[in-house]
Amino acid sequence: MTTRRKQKRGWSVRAAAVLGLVSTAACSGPPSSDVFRITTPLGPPTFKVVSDALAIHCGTLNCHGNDARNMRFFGFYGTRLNPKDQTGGAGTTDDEYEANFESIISIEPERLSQIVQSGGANEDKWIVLAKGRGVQHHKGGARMTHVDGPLPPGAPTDVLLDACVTSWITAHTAGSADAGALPGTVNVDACNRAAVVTPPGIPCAMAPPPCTDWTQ
Amino acid sequence: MRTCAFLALLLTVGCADPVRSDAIDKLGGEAQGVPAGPLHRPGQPCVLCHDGNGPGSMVLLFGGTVYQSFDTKVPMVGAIVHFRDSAGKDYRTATNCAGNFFVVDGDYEPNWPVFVKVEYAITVNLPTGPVTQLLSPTMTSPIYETDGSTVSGLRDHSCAYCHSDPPGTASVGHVYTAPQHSTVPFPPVSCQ
Repeated sequence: MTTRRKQKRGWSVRAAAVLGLVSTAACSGPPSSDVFRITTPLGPPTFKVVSDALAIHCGTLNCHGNDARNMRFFGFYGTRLNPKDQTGGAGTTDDEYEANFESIISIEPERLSQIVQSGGANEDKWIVLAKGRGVQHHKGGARMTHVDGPLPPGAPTDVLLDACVTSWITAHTAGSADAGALPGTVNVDACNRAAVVTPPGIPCAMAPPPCTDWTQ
Repeated sequence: MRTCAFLALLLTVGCADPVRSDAIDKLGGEAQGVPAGPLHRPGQPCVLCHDGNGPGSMVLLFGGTVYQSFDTKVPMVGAIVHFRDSAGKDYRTATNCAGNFFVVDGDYEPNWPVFVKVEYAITVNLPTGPVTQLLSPTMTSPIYETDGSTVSGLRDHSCAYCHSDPPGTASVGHVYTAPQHSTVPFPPVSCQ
């Protein structure tokens, strides 16, 4: 074997060793002592108002109320947890609120943790908000609209829903006022208003016929 | 020549949608004596075929079936299905003798979400005289816009996707006019 061939062979062996090392390193997981601990936003009972707001906009059977979805909402509008319950029957149960909380915090938990820990930094990078706002492709379109500062009077439900969810993920730390929420609190008012979606109409008691009250 | 053949192959492959085909196959064939048309396939998800990409020739925005009551599958004839969009624009259509109703695409261009209820007025003869009773069950959740793909069933504008029988943990049950154990004297139903 010539010196040049020997050198070539030496390089090949070294390259193979390096590749092997890289592959091994790439395939090995983190040490078993490395445990990721999620920092979650507030769970039930605080989460209930957030869950109710999300459920009517996103949690019907044909969307996130379907248990085939990663983010799934159980309850009145969607699939039920208890086999004895029926969609559209009894109200959402405590078990369902708990399941909804577990479901939503399981979506990009590392990023959600960072957002919660930082009091809301880069909250729009969390896929739930990115899709909900239509920034990323979302089959259901944009269901939330973000506004900076206090909520405008008579804000539509997509603005209220965004304020509700955003206040929830930033409420864990103090000083995270967003869209009208008090620092460190969930914007319960926005959540409650977002949870009511009604068609426009003038109550018949307030207008001459033909009145346009949907309830009539 | 080869390019054409390749393009033809691509088109064929592109048009075949196994998810839609499977979903349609599961619905089974037409009922005996009921040709394809407005009376066919009551209770089935209309827009699965009638969304402009499926085998249905007519393109529908909404389609569904209304039954007389919660606990029967007798078709509700002559009920008004009343839609209202978020800008207050209304659209009404009536159920036919199969209980079917539909909104043809282009006839109604709503601002989403859309709200819907069924309306039916019936005159009941009481000993004190005739009384008109208005039944108007209202859907509790609004219907939101989709990105146009109905095949997966997600955000499907077929009422039957959510309103299938039997009611349970993942279905509301069929659309009905009168509640359970109703004694409303609906007129007889016939498509003859």
